[in-house]
Amino acid sequence: MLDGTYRLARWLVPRDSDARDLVQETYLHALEARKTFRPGASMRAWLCSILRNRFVDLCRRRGHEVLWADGADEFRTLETTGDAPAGFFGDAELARLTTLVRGDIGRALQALPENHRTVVLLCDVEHWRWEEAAAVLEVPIGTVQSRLFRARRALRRLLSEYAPEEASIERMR
Amino acid sequence: MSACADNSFRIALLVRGELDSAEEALLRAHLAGCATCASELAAEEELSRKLEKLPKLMAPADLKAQVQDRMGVPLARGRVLRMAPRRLVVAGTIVLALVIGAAVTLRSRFAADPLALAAHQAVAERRSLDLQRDLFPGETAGAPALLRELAQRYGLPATTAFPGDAELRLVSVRPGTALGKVSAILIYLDKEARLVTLEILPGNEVQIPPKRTRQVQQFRPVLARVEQCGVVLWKQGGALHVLTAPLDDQELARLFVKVRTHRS
Repeated sequence: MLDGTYRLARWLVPRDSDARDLVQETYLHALEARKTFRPGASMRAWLCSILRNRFVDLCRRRGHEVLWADGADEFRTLETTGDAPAGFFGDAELARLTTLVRGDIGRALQALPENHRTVVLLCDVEHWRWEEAAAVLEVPIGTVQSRLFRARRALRRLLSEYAPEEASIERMR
Repeated sequence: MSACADNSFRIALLVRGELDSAEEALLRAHLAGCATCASELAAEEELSRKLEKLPKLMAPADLKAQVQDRMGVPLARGRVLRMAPRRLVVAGTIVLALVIGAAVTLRSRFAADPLALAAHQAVAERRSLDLQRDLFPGETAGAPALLRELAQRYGLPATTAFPGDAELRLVSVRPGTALGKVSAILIYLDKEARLVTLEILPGNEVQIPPKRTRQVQQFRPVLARVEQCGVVLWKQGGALHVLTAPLDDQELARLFVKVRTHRS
């Protein structure tokens, strides 16, 4: 369960240190707020709901600082400096895997608004049930479905925008 | 075209495998003759494949350890047992620190009544444990060894600890704190998956006034109810035992007799 919480945190904030803080805050808050957990409800959804709220608090605390700028800054920096995307995942093996998928899908995901990014992560990457995603996003299931639909549309549009870049890289080989 | 636009959402559901067979058959019949929708399906499937390729990050081990330590949760089976003595003490101290916040309120309410304080602390602990059920399976095998280690380190009478049976399965043992002392909390699940806890802590100085006890067969424990949860307190082998279970008084007394009379 901690892995899933951490994964969501890593997709919400760019820095691993921030993600770790978010996860720790989430679990401590969960301990304090344990009375609010309804027996029989999804524990992971409850935890991720707390995490997402902590993320919103973090954004507020940092005032004008926008964590992901336009969602593509970190990738742009990596491209400029020629670094492997290890700065993003903080792990050589994961950096390799990220390189394999060329970062495009990751870059496109980061370019989405947070609520669209989260719905894609929960429903299409983590394969959660609709009701669990609805609990995290605090919206009805119908809204989750329509939001996911719109988010996937936006992802496809972004990926098609990145496609010429990819094609040119391919030709250089 | 509008009919195809209406199909977009169904195509998304098809990719997720969430259409029923009749809807799927209808849609597939349409797809066979509609290039626009077929292209939509291909694009959706391609997107799903790309999403599947995203690396599945795992939480770093040190983060897991930090979180679990701060939550007062022993690590996966066997991990606590491998802790150096100093680390175990540190973990115990962290547990103590975590519990202090909640305990301060209780202590101010029950400063003059250690039995009431122990009962409330045990019920609060049980509530917290109830949120951690998914961790128990990984801890069950190591529970007896952890109990022995806690007993040895903190002078707790492990021989009075009910080892569980077919009706009440021991699923985990955790270090805890009660009345400012380190305790061992034995965690059980009954046949209806209800959580039952038995907390054992040094209790030489705790007095149980006879007028607060009740006769249960040959024993005289204190039977109480905290937030709808049944609590039984008794002294045995120099230790205070606190049993919590969401049972009515009669079931609680029966459970107490079982736990109290077992022979290790």
